[in-house]
Amino acid sequence: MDTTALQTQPEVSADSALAGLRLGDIPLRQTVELTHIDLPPHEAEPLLERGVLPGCRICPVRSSPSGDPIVSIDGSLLALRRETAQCLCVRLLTALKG
Amino acid sequence: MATISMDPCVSCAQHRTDSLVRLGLSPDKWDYLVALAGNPNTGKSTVFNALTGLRQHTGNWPGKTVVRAEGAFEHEGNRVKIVDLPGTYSLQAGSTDEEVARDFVLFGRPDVTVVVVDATRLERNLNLLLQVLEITDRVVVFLNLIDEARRHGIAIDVSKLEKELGVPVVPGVARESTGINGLLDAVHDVATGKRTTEPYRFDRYVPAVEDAIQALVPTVKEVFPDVANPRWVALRLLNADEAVQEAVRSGELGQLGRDDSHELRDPPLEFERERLLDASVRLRWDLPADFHDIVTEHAFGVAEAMSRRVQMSGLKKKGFDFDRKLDDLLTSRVFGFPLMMFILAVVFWLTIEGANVPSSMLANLLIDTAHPWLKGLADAISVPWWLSGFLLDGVYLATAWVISVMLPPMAIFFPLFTLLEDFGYLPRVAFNLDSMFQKAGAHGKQALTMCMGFGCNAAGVVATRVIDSPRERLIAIITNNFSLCNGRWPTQILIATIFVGALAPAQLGGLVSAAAVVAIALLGIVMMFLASWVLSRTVLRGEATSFSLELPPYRPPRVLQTLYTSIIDRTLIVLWRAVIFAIPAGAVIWLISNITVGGASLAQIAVDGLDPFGLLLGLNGVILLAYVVAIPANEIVIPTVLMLTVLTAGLAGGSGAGVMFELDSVNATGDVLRAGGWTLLTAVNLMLFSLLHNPCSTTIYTIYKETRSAKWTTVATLMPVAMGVTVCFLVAQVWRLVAS
Repeated sequence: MDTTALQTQPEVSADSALAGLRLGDIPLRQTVELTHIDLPPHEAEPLLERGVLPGCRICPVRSSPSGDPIVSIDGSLLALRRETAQCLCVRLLTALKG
Repeated sequence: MATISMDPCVSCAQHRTDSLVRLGLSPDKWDYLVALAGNPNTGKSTVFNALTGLRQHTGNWPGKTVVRAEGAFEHEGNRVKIVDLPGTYSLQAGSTDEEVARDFVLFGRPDVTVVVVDATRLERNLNLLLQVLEITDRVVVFLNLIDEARRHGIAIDVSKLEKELGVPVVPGVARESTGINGLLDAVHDVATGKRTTEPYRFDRYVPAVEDAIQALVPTVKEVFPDVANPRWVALRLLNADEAVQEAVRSGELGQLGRDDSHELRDPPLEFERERLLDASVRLRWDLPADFHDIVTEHAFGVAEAMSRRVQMSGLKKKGFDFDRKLDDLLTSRVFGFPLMMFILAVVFWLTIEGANVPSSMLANLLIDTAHPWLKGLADAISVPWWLSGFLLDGVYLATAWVISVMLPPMAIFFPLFTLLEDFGYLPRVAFNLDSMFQKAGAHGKQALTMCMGFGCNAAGVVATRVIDSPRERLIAIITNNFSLCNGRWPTQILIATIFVGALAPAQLGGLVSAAAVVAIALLGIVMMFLASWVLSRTVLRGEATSFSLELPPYRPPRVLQTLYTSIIDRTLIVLWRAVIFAIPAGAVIWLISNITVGGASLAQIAVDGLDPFGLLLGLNGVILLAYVVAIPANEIVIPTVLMLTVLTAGLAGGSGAGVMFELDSVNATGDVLRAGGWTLLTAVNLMLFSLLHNPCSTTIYTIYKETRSAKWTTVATLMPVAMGVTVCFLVAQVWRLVAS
């Protein structure tokens, strides 16, 4: 799913390393698009209900004192655990910052 | 289950009343019943308050297990009862809150369900709304926060949304009470049937799913011809939804779609109902493996498409600079923790300091003035000594003591806590602390229930409903008692002042004793983490579930409403329950001190019997007996200890057998305790035991109501006692070893 999405976006480098890009790898204040939630349904559902839907724009805005991310999604802030962020497959909309 | 037919009462009007009482509603009369549903952070409780005003708001938190709050108001001559359901993201019955909301909309048969929708997050909110529309026809949507939406550059075409949904949509800003009249009119029109609705219903699933639904729907219609949405019933049965299966089995489902008319209709026969269940089980075999995913994705797809059609976004936006700056500070790596500690310390300081004056005023009134007056009155009308002793010295004094010690701190703590919640800070606390809880195998939201426990453990236990995962919720319930509650602070402070503060030079005494109390509270937090860690690796094994928490925008707290509702909803109800439990405790205290067997009072016999074990723990028999009789309320431990000390050590002073008392001066209290054989070790161990012992009976009862499990209630009750006995024993042995 990730690779096909990337192939339709030739302006972004189709580097194979980017195909497995997860939200946890994205630097602060870079907006990306969610492509897929790599979690079993019962764990994915609470995320879906809170607006974390494939296709949405998502942007890490800060991290907690212990390093967990807060993301901005659909205008509201959502706190996640690092492990959860690592299960959210994303694709770049612009070149990777930093 | 009945073998011939069903219970005929399922169809009568009385049954509806019964099921509402079961769902936690008080059975008074009303013309129509309105349920209020919505996502968390949509301003649902603001709508509730705007509708009820503050006049008729009767909360039932945390007494009843089901409904959060109910209120009543009059509109155009009709008495309207309104029930505030827990804020949820869906009605899938995944968490207790979701189950409560779903059961109420389904089985409470409200005349109208008002769904509060946050206009700034329409797509996400539509998910819940569409689920409500599946269950009931009678829905009114309140599109709240349209002012915030405008600031965020979002505009919603209300009439288009109304057409898409098929139910009235009223835009407004509940905080400013705009749109509330329109909402009332729409509710009235739907309740009276003046306005008919045609709610949007999910259709056109993929063929495999659609075929199964189509095959089951005729059977649903045959068995339950009145049901509002046969497709939804079919889908839930295919999904093996237990609540819906049970409603089919009992025949209750047949009542759900109907008006609240008093006509009697014969319910379907049992074999008919079983036929429906059998058909659903058979059809389930042919469903695709990803059936559940298909249904979920379909629902989210519909919500997305619908919100896209009705909203124009990308208008001129205003930034959220204020929020961002505040979050930079409150969740920062450097300042996050210190600020959190500081804010919580201020809350506790205000509670303890602020409660002193009203507490002593209440004690003055109820104990020092009213009690002698009542005794005098009883003597004047020649009430027998044992009756006035039992009622006034036992029951009345215990109750008066609980009220004067418990009411002021709770009346300060709960509103402060609710203000922080209202402002939006508490979710940030949960977020800051999540990683620590995660390491202990617990849930980040346990941070909130732990903080609530510092006010009252029973309230903390109820607050665990916000935790979705049953395993993590149980951990939070069992370990809540390690939060040193308001009822125990006064004991800690008094004993620390007498025995620990006295060790330091006079000018540092206050500081040293305060530090001792804080150390005990911190030890409680350490014990909470330790117990959570052990539980999640033994009897409650499992990984911490994924954690996602919406951080709501900071909103100015509504001070007056908060004061009113938190005093009504939290303080008075907890206090009432404590009073109920204090009454028998007072009776027992008086009786054991006054009933004598072979020349010694029962209390004397018990104290002598417990003394050897007490001394082994570095405590004494008086303390152990006081903790047994004071299970109902920690507040009466000190007065009971003093009374028993005077009684059993044969000291002068005190107020008589079975009459609890406290001394005006801290020094005099210290003298009595030292005369009773207390040492620094006794004091330290009492402070430890006050932290680590069974929860009070109010909390035990609440744990049972929340878990509905005798096993977990027993674990939650005995585990802290076992820890307390162990810790006290070890401290006593080491202490004596070092001292000798």
